[in-house]
Amino acid sequence: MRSYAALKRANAAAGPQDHLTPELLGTIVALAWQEALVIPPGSTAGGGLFEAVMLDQSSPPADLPEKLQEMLDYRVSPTGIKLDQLTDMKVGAQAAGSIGRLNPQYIAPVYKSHPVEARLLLDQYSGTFPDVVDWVRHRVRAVKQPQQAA
Amino acid sequence: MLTLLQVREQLTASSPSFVGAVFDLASTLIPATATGGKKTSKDFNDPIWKVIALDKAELDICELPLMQRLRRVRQLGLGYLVFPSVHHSRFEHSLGAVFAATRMFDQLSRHAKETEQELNGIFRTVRLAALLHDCGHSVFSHVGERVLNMLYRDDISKVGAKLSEIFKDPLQGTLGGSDKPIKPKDPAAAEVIAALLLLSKPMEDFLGRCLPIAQNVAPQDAIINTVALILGKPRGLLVDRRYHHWVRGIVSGDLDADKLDYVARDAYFAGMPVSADVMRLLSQLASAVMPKQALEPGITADDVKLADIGETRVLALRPSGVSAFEMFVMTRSYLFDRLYGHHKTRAAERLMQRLLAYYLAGAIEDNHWTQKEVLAFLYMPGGDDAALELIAAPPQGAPRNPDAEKMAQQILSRDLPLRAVQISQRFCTESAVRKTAATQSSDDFLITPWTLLQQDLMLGDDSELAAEIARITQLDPGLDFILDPPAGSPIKEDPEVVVSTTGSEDVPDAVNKHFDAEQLSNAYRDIKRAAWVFTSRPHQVLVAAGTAAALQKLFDIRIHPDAVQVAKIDRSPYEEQLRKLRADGQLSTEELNNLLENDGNGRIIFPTDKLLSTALHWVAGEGHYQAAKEKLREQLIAAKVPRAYYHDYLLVLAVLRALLKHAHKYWRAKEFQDHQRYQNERRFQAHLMAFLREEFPPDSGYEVKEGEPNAAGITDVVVTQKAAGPGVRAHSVVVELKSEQSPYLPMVENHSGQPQQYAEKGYSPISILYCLFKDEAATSIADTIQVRVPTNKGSSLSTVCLGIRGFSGTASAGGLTHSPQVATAPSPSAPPPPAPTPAP
Repeated sequence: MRSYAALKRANAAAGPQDHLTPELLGTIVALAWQEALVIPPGSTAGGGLFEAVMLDQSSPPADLPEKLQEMLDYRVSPTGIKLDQLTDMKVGAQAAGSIGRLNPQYIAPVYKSHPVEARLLLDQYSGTFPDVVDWVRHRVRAVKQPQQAA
Repeated sequence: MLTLLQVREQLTASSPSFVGAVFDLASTLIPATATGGKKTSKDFNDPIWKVIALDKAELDICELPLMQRLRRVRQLGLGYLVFPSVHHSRFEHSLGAVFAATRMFDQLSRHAKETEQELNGIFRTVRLAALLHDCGHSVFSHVGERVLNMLYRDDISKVGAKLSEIFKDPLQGTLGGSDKPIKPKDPAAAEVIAALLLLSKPMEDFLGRCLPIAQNVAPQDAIINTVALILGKPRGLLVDRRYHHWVRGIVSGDLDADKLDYVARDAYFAGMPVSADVMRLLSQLASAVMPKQALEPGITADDVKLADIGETRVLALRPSGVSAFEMFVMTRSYLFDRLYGHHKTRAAERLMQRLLAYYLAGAIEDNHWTQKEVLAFLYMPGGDDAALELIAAPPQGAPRNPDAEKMAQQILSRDLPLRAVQISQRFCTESAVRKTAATQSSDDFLITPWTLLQQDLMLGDDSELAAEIARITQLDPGLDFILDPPAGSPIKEDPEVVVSTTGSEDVPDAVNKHFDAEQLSNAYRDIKRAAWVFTSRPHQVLVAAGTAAALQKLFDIRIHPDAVQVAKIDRSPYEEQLRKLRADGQLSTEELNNLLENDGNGRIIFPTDKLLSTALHWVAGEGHYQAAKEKLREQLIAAKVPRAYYHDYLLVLAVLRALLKHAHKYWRAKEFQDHQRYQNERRFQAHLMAFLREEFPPDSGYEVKEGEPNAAGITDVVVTQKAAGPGVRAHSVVVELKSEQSPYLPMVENHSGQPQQYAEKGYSPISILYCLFKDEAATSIADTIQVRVPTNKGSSLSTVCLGIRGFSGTASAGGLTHSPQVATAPSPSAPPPPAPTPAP
């Protein structure tokens, strides 16, 4: 028992609270959109919610935080730059309840959280992943402005 | 180009002990005496592909212990405990992958302009890579791989990074607008071991003895090209200015030979009447020409330059193969649901993982096993059954581990952990959410508790939930019960397959334009995704009740009794156990009533640690923070705030966080020493308004107003969350301010009822009283936090009170001295300063 516990402790790199996953990142991105757009639950989300944040003109953003560079796998493919974890991000946001996706896929997803939840949850996550939450909030604002101007 | 010797030296330098141990293992699995047999070819009968032919070199490799041991490593680990016929091995899967790879290669190269001879080198490499792609799998396949990661994660990570450095991806891109390359994907543990075994001196020597007999290929090139392809970073694909990208897709991609074989084989051996139409799929493969610039960002490796490329061909499907691909994806997702993700399979694998990790950790700690001995165990010739037998009944002199022996006996006798409770959205969210027409639209439901739980669940036995279940039940997480996190989606929503019409000049489409993978993934997620808590029969009811109590305490989630009934636990003993937990003091009466759904007047909010910790972020000092959190939780529960007001409660927490930040920043600040100025509430209010407008800027969706008239009077400050759509109520919290040269408690006594009058007039039922007080006693911010409720019974109103100390003799050194107009709350967009409490 002693050995197993020690092994598990040794295996927990920086402690369980520091365990960022692609699924959680997807949740953070969805919440950041809802916070920035200030819209009620049930509102339709635009297409490419995650791609817009995670890809900058079809490249990984130059200012991608170190933690995300470590966690994410971008690849060049014949159909463009692929982010291996994109499905996990979408599924994570959906599983966490931040967005709802209806079938078929051409029906846009809807935001499910309340904006006050979005703010509080992001504040909660920023306590553990400050760099990541700041970067996502910054990216969402940067993407949102040209979209709104257009 | 590095020589094999140089590659080995660099890898050894990255992690000398681990790489040395794997190279030692190679000398056992590829013995110096192996010289190959006399047969020049062999046909294997196979239930999936009927006949699989191997040539001399491949046959010689198959005869090595390296490959023979795979006959005794089951493809599906412990799946046979649930599906009795899934005993097929990694060996036959490897042969099947060779067949599938060959068929893919033949089909994809049909329209190639090169001669067969020109592509022969690539063809040989593809077959070798398919044959050897699983040679790094230890006993119990992916379970063994997870244990390898637990034991040697750092070593595997270092060697993986070195492999990525040596075997550069020719399609490696850069971070946008910079020269910085994208970090390559690290290979999995089994791939790292496979690469090391293949790059070892014994393998080089063996191929030196065998390969030239059948093929005119240098062993060194064969090894390096094979390893590169297994790692998904193929070399030598540029032939006569044509770049054969499709070769990569045969060994690593969303439609590769590995998947084609295992989907068909696993379904067949499980006895499931589903089958991907792999023959149709194979017949509809075609290589398609992509525009040169499609790969432009990626061509950076030394051996491929964009200028050298005249034409790029990629793996594609003809339109008439799309429905076969759809069937393939659906079959795979069905297998995940029925076979790989079957609750009994999951329980068995988790038990096996625990057993292996426990046994090996014990052998390392107590018997001083070296890495060499651990690897010799995990890669023993006898495979799965031999490893299990060895643990269950160790021979004389072998390490003894009674607990591991007991677990091994459990597996041998199929005494597997039982389900105690399922944690899934349908059993948690519905019960956690009470839709109330007055407060929510039909499409609006409460997410926060479930979102926070999802994050925690991913940590399995290391989660806070597991720790809380352990505390409540007095059982050991990982030993007495297992929290198995939900599996990710088995369906990739953007598969890397394109669709091309033969002879068409058009750029091929992504397959997603023809087949809705996202829709399938979506359906899968909604219905199938679940975490399980497993345990042994004697603990089953206790763990079920303990989990329900822990979910209530940590996440304010009331799990539906059906979550326990799907685990075949009757409701009556479960409810009896919940009552027993109440009798033992593990549950409050309110919590018990809530779980039993006896909460007559409607469910109330149970504040949870995570949200309170967010609100109390600015309370300095661990002791103060903990005390404030416990007091606030206790008093909020006593206030019995109805659950229909959850969003109001969340807004109060957001405002409370901002006010505590204000109090933290200006506690005993110099400007609040000014008796004349700040005794005037208006000045205090102006100061706070300036601060709150920084915290809740206009584009944040919040509005901060002052002096709003109301039927009950004029409010001081109101913070409104504006995001109200049709049918959605805006949430507004009243903040009543008081500034007096008097002690704090009398101020609270005198004024806490005032904001409640406003609350009755359309504002949030929870309001806030914020006092600037004079108190010579050393009161802390944390001490001031309290909840007051009206004395009349039945009211759901309450006031959260907090104070900021001013008017004392000397100013705090830390107090800010500038005026509020210039000062200075940090912008919410700026990175937050270090938390005053250690990561609450």
